[in-house]
Amino acid sequence: MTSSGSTRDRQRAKFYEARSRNYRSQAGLLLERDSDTDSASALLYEAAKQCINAVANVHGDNPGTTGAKMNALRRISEREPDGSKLMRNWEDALRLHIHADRGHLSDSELAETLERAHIFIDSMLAIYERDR
Amino acid sequence: MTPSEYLVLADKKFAAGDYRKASRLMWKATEAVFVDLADSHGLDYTEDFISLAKTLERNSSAAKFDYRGSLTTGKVLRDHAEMDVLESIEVEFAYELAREFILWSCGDK
Repeated sequence: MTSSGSTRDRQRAKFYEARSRNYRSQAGLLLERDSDTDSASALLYEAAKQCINAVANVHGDNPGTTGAKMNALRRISEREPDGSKLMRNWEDALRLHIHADRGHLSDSELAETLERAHIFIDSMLAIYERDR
Repeated sequence: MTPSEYLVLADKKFAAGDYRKASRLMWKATEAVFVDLADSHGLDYTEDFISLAKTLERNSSAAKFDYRGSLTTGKVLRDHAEMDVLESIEVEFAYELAREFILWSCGDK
């Protein structure tokens, strides 16, 4: 599927895509340099949200609120053969958001959740690259 | 209680708008599914079920499902039940995914 958004939508999508990559990069630095899992988790959650914005904008949608992003992700997933998995991977990003606030994940759970949140971001960026 | 019994109770709470109790019951249903899967495949498990979910995904004799993702979804609902941390739409999204997993497990696993 290719872009159905306007030139302005595609420009916005590019901005969100860049922001997503930057947030993820910053999260990686925080983990490597400071072992700061709370801040890294918050940044990865933001990176995941920006991915949704990027793909949604490619298709002419610009979700603002949490609810709008959830609905945008649902529409994206419906277009993908492995959409159900994509939505479940989003839940890992959401769990990182909770961890950033509550610090409740054990080491093994955090490692699992970080890995799967990265899978979500990779999948969404691949969709962005394919559709832009 | 079985996963389907938890599901019936969860759906009642969800329909009544009690999202935290519904979330707790849906986590209990998810937990019960993983215990059943471990028993039926003769596998050990730890409290967090992560190794079990990975083993099930690697095991070609197990029916294919996104076990790790379903485990996470159940845990997100558990987080909400314990800490009241999600917006309504986030609960609804996770609940729908968890429900799909429980229904699958009650069918042709």
